[in-house]
Amino acid sequence: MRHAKLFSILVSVAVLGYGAAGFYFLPAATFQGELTRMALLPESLFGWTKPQPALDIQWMRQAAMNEADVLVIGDSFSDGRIWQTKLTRRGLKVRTESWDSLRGVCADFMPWLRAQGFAGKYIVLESIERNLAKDLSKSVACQQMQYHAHAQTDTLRYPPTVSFDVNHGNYGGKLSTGFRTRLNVLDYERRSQAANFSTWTLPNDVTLARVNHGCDLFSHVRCNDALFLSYDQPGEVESSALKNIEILNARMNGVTLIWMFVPNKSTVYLYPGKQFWNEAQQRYGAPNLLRMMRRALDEKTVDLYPANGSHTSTPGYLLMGEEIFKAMQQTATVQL
Amino acid sequence: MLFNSYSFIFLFLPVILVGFFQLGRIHHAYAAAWLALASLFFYGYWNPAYIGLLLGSIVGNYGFGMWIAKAGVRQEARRKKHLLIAAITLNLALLAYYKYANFFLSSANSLAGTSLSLGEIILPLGISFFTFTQIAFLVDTYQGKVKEYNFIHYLLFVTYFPHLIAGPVLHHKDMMPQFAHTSTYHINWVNVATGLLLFTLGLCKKVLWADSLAPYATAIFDGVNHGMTIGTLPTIYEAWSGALAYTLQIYFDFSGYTDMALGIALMFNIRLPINFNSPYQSTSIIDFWRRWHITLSTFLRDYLYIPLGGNRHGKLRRYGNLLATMLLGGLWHGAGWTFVVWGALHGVYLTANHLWREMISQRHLQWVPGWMGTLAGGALTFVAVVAAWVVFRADNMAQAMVMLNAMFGINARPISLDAVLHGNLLLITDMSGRDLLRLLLPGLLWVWLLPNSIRVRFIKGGAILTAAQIALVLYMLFVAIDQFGSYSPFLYFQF
Repeated sequence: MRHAKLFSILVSVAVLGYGAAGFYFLPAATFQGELTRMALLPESLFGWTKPQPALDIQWMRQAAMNEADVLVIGDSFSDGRIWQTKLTRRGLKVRTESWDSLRGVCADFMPWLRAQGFAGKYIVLESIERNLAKDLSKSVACQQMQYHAHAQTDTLRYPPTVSFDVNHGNYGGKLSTGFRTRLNVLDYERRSQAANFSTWTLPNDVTLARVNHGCDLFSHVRCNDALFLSYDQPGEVESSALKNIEILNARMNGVTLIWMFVPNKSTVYLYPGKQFWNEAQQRYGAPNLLRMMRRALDEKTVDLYPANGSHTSTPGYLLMGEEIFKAMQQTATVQL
Repeated sequence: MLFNSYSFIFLFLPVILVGFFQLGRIHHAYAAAWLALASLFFYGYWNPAYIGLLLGSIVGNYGFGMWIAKAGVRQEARRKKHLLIAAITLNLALLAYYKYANFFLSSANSLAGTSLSLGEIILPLGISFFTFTQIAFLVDTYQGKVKEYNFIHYLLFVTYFPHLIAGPVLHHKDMMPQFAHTSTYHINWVNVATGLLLFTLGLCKKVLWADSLAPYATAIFDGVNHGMTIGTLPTIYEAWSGALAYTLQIYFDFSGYTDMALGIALMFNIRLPINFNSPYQSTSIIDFWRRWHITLSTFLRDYLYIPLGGNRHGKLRRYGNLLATMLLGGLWHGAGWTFVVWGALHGVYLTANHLWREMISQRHLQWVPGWMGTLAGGALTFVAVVAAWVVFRADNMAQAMVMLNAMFGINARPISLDAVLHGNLLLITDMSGRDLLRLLLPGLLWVWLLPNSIRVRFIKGGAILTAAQIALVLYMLFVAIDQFGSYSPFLYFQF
């Protein structure tokens, strides 16, 4: 009986003590951005505070394959159908498919696409810089289309958040996350005081880096520092990518192909000297999204990429959409 | 309120437990009333609107019980029977309205081409459990088996929060004496310690196993549904993966809930009946139903199969009774044809199992070594149970047939050896086949090889043994509690 009593009391006290301490720190662990979630840093320090433009859901409609004017094949930057609103507002019907579904633009892509009922004139191939070389080489190597349908392809998409309360806490998260977030804040405060502080590598492939003139470019509380994905490289995009663009261009008979290469967040803010976009523009007329984004930063566009996320903000998406539309106008075979 | 929630573990359970034993020091009636009120609060936490329904059901059934008992005293046999029939009819009518009205109406609509509607009826949580519990009370009262009629104890017997929502199905003769016993209201540290161990084990089963398997089962069944709309069949791997994921999910979910319920009840010095006894180690379907949801099987046997005649009127009637009992047992789980077919399937399994025993194994297979029979019986039983779970989980029979056809290679999408070798087994979902295998293999070893949780006890011994148990429980609790963060109700809440 004595040991059972000791067991019961100690376990109960430990669990209740853990719960009490956990709830004290838990509100800090409420995340809006994927980078703050991965790095376990609070939105109260890294959450964007400037409201973003609202979008109307009617422009985010997914067109059926046989009614689409434009087919977009892309990754998570296209999945939200945000930049595409710049096309749909102008009356174009857009269908967005993912690289995951198509598994590549294979040798028999055009006959396959026509068999699916696509009668449009434009195809936009979108890829984020970090996956670009891989997406292209997979496509080049692929001989036969194998479509893998995703249930989410045709489901409704909702407009992105316009604003959120960076201090809003909730008590529904994991208790350990609250503790770890608090410890990370203490660590950050200590490191960021150092005069020569430039970067801090956090768990889960996140790097915190000091950005020049950061407070002109971000709206979050600690605006001089922003979060980036650690595996985004400062080096150039693999040279094979340009060659592969040419091979894939040759597969697109009877349609106008627009390349949409989205630069990594770190490329835009930390390593803007990369030449890939210039070369892709000169050789293949690909919209120069890096130059467009750097211009936006020169014009002090705030939160082009929010500090807490690896994807662009709504203004960033809309700027990209505008650039793609301009590219379509320039290569137009029909009046837009 | 869920057992696997912060509010339950950090607030509700400690407050109710401390209050119960403190009030028990003053008078046990206060403690019983405290527990009954806590149970009503626990129930009303989801939807306070249904507390009235629950209380109405309790007061009504208690009233009928008293009436029947008094009629019994006065030897008014016919009146007693009429009262029993009226009370059961009212209970079933309540259940029929809330659980089955729309199902029968939509079935009638599809047959007659009409569009009659009762609107949306929200199913009150635990209605099947508290209705069946009270029907048993009425029948036993009629048969003169009920000895105690203390209302607070009756209220507690029906509402007692560990079992109220998803069982076990309680029998008043097991419960009422426990509530009447004075020692129940004094803390027993061995019971608290064993209860904590059992609760922790159940919590781990739920949040570490069932909740980890659930996304795979859901994704595969949804993927099959989506595939049906675009003409894509699942592969044999996908079908088996989905079926096994659900087979393990439902076991860990429901037996985890039951372990938690038993553990919590034990902390209050109440012993709930065992509901699971390693059912996937069964060597026959007859054996399976003695190990799976035991309290429901017992209820169906005592209050449906035996009153229907049981095995007293010849073999043909016996198998008819068996089939009818299992069919209604299936319908008890939910208002849908898949549940009916699942019940019927098990009825057929049971009939075949009885026939096999009588006509073949007992006459012609005596020479087969015991281990061989156990192994073959176990394998066949497991496959039959998995196939039946597919029907149980499917949204409709068409989906169930697509899954079953793919599982047994009748009509499946081919998959290349290369894809298999590279672990690309789940092409109809975004999920990793390898990750699922990492869950399925240890999960299957657990359900096939490990002893049942009914053997869990606090091991009394020296300080080192106590320290080891503390460390183990705290580690398991830490890991399990750290999985909280999203709403994850138990599967059997819907039944």
